[in-house]
Amino acid sequence: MSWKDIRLLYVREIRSALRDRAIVTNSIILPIFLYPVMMWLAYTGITFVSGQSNDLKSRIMLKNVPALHSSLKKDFETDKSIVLTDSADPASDIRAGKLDALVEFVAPKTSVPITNNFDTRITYDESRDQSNRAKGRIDQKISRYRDSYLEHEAGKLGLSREQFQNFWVDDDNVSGDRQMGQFLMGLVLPIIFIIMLAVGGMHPAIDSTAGEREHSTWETVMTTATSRANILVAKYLYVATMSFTAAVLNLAAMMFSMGTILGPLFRRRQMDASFQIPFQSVPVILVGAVLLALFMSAGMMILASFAKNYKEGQAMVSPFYLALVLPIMFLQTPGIEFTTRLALIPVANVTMVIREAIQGIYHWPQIGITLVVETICVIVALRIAMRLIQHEDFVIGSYGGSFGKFAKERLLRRTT
Amino acid sequence: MNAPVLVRNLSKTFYDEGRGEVRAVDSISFECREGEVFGLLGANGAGKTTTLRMLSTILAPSSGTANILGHDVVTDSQGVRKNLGFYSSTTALYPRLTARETIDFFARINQYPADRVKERVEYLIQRFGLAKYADARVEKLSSGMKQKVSIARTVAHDPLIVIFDEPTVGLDVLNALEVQESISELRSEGKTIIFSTHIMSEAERLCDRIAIIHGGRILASDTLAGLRESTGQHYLEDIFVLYVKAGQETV
Amino acid sequence: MNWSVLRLLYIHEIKMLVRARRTVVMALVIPAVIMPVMIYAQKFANDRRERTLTATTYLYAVTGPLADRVRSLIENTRQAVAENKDEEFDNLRQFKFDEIRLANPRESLDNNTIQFYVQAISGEEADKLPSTNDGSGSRPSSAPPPSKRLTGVPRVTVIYRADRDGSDNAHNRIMELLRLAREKDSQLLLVDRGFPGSPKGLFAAQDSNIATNGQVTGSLVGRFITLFLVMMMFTGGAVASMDIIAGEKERGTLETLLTTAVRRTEIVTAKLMAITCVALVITLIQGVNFFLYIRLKVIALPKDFDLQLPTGMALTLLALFIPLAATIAAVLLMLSAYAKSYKEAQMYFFPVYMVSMIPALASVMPGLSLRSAIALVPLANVSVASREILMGRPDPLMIMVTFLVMALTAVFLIRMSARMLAREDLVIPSHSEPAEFLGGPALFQKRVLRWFALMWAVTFAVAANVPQLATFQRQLVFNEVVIMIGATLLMLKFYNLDVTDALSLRRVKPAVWLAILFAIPSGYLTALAIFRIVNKVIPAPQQLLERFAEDFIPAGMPMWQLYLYVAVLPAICEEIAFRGMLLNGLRRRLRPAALMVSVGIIFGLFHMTLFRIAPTALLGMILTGIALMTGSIFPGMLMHAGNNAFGLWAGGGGLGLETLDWQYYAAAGSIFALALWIIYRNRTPLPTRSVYRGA
Repeated sequence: MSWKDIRLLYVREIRSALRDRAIVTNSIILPIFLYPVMMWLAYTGITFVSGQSNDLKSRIMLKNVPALHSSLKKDFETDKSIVLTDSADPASDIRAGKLDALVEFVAPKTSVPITNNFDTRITYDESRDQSNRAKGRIDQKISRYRDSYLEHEAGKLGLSREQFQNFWVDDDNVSGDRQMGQFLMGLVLPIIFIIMLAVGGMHPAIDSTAGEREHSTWETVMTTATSRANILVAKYLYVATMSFTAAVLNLAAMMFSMGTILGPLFRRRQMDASFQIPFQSVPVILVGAVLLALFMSAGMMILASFAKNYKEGQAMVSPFYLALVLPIMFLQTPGIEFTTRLALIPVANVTMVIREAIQGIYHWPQIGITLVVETICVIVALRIAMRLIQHEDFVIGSYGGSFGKFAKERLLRRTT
Repeated sequence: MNAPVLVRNLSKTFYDEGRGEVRAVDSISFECREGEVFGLLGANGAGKTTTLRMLSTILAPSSGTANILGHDVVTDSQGVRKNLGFYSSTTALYPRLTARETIDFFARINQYPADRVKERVEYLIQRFGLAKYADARVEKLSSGMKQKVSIARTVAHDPLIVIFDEPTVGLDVLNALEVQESISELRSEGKTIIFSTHIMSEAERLCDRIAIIHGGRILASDTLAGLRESTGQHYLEDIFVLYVKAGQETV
Repeated sequence: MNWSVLRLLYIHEIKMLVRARRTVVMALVIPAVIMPVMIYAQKFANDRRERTLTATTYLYAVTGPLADRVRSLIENTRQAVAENKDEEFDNLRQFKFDEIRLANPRESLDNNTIQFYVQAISGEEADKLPSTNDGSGSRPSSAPPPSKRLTGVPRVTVIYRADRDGSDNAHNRIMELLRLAREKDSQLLLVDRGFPGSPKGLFAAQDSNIATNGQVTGSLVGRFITLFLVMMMFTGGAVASMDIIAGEKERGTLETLLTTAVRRTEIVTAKLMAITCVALVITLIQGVNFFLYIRLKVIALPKDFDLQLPTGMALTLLALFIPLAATIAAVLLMLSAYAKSYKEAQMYFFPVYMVSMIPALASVMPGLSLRSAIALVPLANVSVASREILMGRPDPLMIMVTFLVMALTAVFLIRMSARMLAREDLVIPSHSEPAEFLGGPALFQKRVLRWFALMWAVTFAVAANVPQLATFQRQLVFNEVVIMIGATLLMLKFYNLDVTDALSLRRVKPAVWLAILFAIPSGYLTALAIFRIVNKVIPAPQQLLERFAEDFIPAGMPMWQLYLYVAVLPAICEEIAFRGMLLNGLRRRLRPAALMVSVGIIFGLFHMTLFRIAPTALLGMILTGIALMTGSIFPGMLMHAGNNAFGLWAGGGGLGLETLDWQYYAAAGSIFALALWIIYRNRTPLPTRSVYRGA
């Protein structure tokens, strides 16, 4: 193995890649901008829709309001989000969307002799957003009115307001900002990190194998005075580099944008979160990322190597990409324990290591098992690749891009 | 002294799904002398490209031997490639490298002395008239310019042996002439050139000796004058057809 | 259009597609595999979580002087919940928790021995503590907003860790229990004092929902059906479209086709039909898969789910979805026509796909009705229309309008694709560009958009992440001076541009200045009028408008500084950057109308908040138009500064210009039109792209 040649080949691959718009887009621009922009759009969308919802005035009709409860009617009248209106046929108007809700004050159904009691029948249309909103507002108003009425009655019965309030219930989240931030990041980042690893490596993997065949540069490099092993190692390192870079850039971008975009959302819910990964966890995350990048790159390159052009290469690699990424969908909820069994599953194990490392948790036995499992995967993949490259028909791209045909002809049948 | 290129009983068999075993090259032998242009003349499917791919170590022979400057193509493939430049329609350029970067890369990867690479690159740029486009990416160049860059990268490491596999396919008359001129210049520099073609006029113009190949076998190998004398024909086309027909009758 | 030729081409396209076996298999198999796995994974993860949370016995502690009272309340309420068979208490009935006695509950919470603890303190002690919240915690939005704790009232606080799922879940349940306990206890107090009857019976509300299950279901499904279809059609159609022109260019077969005796429109129509066909087939297969998952209970439907799809409704939906499919196919076709290779086409696909989903979400927005200008917005109109149809409330006239709009959109896009096939630089991908060799201004024209994309990215990244620049003045100075002027200087140097040329630093005729002075107030009012009209269709939330005003005008700043930062500085810097560099970079590539729109929108995008983008883009278009007519940035500088200053002055003076009567806006519009006409009559334009049309 000549490291000088490998370096030369590697630098050439990187240089070419950085001049390829598709690779730069998928491995550098997308990781940096995609999720922050999507989060910004989602945040703006949520704010807009909830703002819309809050701002829409509810058209409500009140019927038979008891004179004794005129303050309730006044409450409706003074509420700027409600427009009191009249209708000859409220049910039809509600159906037609001209009215949002009808509140009828009727005689109470309960046999309990509470004076001045009333029941309300709220007619609305559940299939319309505005009607639902109006009903929500009505429920709120009546509930508040009930509370203040009871307070008043309590006063008449000799209970002070404080006595009637009885005791106050509240809560206190004692997680630190950092812990909250790490918890939230732990839910979201690992899965996106793994996906970016795969996406960042996919295009370079296809481009450096099937793409080279398409451009007819495969034979050009095969006739140079360097061994096939050197060529393969250089390509492999290049693909792993792009994969790793995409993931790390995405992680950094996500950390930045989570703070600025999600921060205001949390402050509205009186939570604070600081989105910083613990410094000690960085080496753990990076080692996991490197191993996973090496494994994914090897797998993708092996599959793409059978293809004659980029399109075929993509068709070969896509199932592998999905097989890697889909299992981690099962890990998306919180509270999943990092067991020894989980540590034996490639990709899922690295996801859990990263999630826990972000939260500052280190299950060293499981981390050890993960490193071993991933290393084995990398070695196996590399050995397969080395074996493949010995076959010259693999080199010249026979079998029409079909791994199955190759396996049948080469591995299961002896040919001269 | 041994000839720089020595081929003895070289064969190559492929397995084809439809046809079964196909002997693409059938026990051919030839040698190329130092400083000559040796032509492989044959129709499509004759075995020219397969032969040349074996010499350039892309394919491994099924049997027989081939030596390039004493290096065996099977046991010392790297040594072969160090001394060889290979130009083919299937060896394209990297589209996103500039012309200068391409030549530089191929000089270095073929182990041209590192301290002289820069000088060599500038020399080739001037020699092939690439100065104006040296820093433009290959994908932006016209086919004529690409062809020049391609030849420049073939000889970037100043190899003693250069193989040209149908280099003028798809080129217009003027570009084809330029390629032929380049080949002549390389010969005058003392390089040994193996040149395959199916265009009779090219073979006549360029080759010092011509091997007629058909059905994976060499049917004849001699200078043009020698071939004319053996067959009694003047035009290479007639010579070619005669041998091919005779070869077919023999089979 | 020759229909037999069209048929021939269409069959040819389908044949080529079907013979690419691997592509077909991937297009059908991958979605068929991904969707159930993803849905199942989601369900599995949620079910597993629920099971774990339900099976767990949560440990907690109670502390404080009123601990005993809280214990007894919790115990009594648990018993009451266990005896009450109401569904609304299911969650609480399943909640298992045990108290343990601990010396240091906080430490035990931190090391996860307990999931939460309850601290019950007296009113006097609670009064001494600073109030950290008003007791809202994380409560559902339907619950009434809390009042404040009155002085002297005891306080019961649930202390938990939100960064732990178990703790968070347990806290939610115990909060519910404690609130229920408080409610019951308060009611008992009343009854004990002689309240006649159960307070629960006071002001009871009955719901009378006049919508049928079918309508409710229709409303739910209608929200997402268009989005689902858009996603499926895009991903399904992409299978065919990426290769259908871009791939052909790479293989060289497009040239072969273009040299045959068929028209470009016929080629494009046949390809469109092929993409539409593939998109519809794949969408249909996905739809069938979806129903299978429902039957196999992989997807759990809500209770009372009752989708009714009578034939008329189904046909109406189909009538809308066909032009939708054609429009999506046309977008994909344009992408493919524009890209030079299969790989490039794929690169453009993703952002276009994401952007197309935005109008498809229109039905999620409350208050949007098809009988409004939304019927004229492609994709958004189908989204709203399908929801109304599924709710059983179709508006026939507007549905027809929607159909027409979608059909016209598809036709327009097809024609644009056909025109793209006439562009040499797109048909022959290896066409070499002299700009690469010439460098300088020629290269600048090709690279200008990238520079502005980078400037936007830097502005966005810095605004989001550098707290030192968080003040209004610093951010403005950074954006205007460092980004706008800095980038301008870099571009001038890098591409060796002539300053006067590149920045359009030219004199204009005197009449133009006069026109600008009139255009400033009249233009401002005209823009306000347009904004009000747009607001009727898609109302901007009031709180966002208010926030926009706040961001724009910081309180407590001296007026002269305000005018400097808000009017003068942006006018100079942004005109140099946008109407100078950007406009000159693009003017030979685009026609004037497209130039105005592009430069306007890019200018708008630099103003980050969503609701500043639209009005700023409109101003940008006007300024670009003025720059094009006058060939100079100076009038635009005055217009820009004047517009901002006028806005400041009007806002500060409380003139209420947003609520004028319409005749004032009409008058302003007329004056503005007159001002523009005067500028037009005194124009000294720069050359733009010629109107030559290719073969």
